[in-house]
Amino acid sequence: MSTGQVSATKGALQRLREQIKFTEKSKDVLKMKRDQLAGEINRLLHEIQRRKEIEKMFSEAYESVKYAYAVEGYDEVSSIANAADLLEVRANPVSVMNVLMPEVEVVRRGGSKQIPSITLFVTTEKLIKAIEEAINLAIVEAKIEQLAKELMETNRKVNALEKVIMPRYISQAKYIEDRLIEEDLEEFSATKHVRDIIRERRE
Amino acid sequence: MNPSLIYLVTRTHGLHTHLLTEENYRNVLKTKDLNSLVQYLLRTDYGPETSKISSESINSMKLGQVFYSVLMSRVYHLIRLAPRDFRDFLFLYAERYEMENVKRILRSKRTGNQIGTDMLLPIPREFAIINFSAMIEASTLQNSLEILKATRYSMIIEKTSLLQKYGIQTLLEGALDKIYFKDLEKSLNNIPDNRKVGIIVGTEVDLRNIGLMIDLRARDVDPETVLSISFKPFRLRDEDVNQIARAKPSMVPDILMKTPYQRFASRLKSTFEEGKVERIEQVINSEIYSKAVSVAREFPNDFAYIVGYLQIAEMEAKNLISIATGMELALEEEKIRSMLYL
Repeated sequence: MSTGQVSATKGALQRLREQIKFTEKSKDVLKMKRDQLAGEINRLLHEIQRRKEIEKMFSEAYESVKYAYAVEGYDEVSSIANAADLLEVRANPVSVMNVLMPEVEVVRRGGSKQIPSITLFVTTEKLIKAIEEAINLAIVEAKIEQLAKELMETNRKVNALEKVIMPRYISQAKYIEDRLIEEDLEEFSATKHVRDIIRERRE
Repeated sequence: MNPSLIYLVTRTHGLHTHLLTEENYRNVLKTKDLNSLVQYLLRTDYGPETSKISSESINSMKLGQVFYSVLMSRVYHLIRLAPRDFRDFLFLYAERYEMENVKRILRSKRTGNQIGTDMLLPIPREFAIINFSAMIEASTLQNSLEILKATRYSMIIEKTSLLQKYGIQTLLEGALDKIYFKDLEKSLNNIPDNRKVGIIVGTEVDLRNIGLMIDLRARDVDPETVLSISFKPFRLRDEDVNQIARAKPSMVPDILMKTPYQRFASRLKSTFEEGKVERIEQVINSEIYSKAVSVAREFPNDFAYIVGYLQIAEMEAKNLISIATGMELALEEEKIRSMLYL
């Protein structure tokens, strides 16, 4: 593994050791974040199992809508729908663990109560329930998508620290250590050699 | 028998032959698309109007407008034919279509949605007692209601407080129907031998009353308010109405079992048991229609026959709308048939 251009000094070794310690800690923190994200995704995955149930609610509501249209006709349904307030929602994204999570607040529930026909009142109730559930499901799915993106990024960071950065720092530290030992040995043998020459001259 | 009544009944028998027969319905249901439906209807009273729609722009909404326009011409044609003694009642009877227009306008005024005169039933100008254009142009619901001040429906203005309290449009519409049915019942007294017509009108009053009360109770309106909006019963007793207004909607069939509406009660019960509450209106219409058909059959030489004809003509328009819309929504023939009043 390439060690790059590093100055083999005790100061550089000290700095590298500190960096290794810091990187180790960062890796642990990122691993904790990864586990948290995975846990959250697992929890949310459980919630999206309701999709089938919601699809069934929608198909029942659509059957009711078709029935209402066929029985009342388009003109009457449009007129009755005119009496109802529209469903109003507000999107409030919230940042959790630095991940922008979508949150949708139902400001106005839509006006099934105002519908002046029992046929369309029941139909609208079914449809509004299905839409509210679909909004909740969409929020969960969007959260999973955001969390999964963040999980992948965190995983990449952990892998990069584990497989690239840490080994590089370690090998650089080893290289510096080796060089320093080598230098020490060189210095030791040079000193020894000088000492021997001095000793010979004295004799 | 009153000679003017003989004349009117004879003319109505003639008009009755223009209505679709069961065989016509069978054939109509067999048509494969809206174009074939229009082709089939060319041979009927709907022909002149449907032929004005180009084949590319045929849709159930346009056809629906044609069906209602033919209904309007049938109803007002009969009123024009009616001798003075019967005209007033028929004129009042036809006010239900004006009320439908008033309801359509008030719905849009509540939410501020736009509505044009093309969304209204085409009532001939000579018969219109309400200025719909002024109601549409009014800037608020209150201003729109003010236009009704000069009519028999002026009392409706007092009911806006209920609309504000509950936010339920049905309260306002129920109050309009209450005035309408009260006056219709009252005008029955001006008809000679009104007992048979009373069966048709009374059945409708009672069943619409039951429908209104179920509707309001389903939206948790308190019993006292429901009672204040409910109509004066015809064949039901005050005690029955009182019980219905206080009962849960699903309990209403049991209350009705002890009234003259047992057959209706058992149909209503199965609708609740099957969880198809949205079909209540259809069950009510179907019962009203059956009563009109049976009275018209039983008394072919009576004024009741004429009122029966008007009910049947209205149901025909509803049936054709169901057929056209059902076809457009690609519903199966059997499903469409189950929605028809036959």
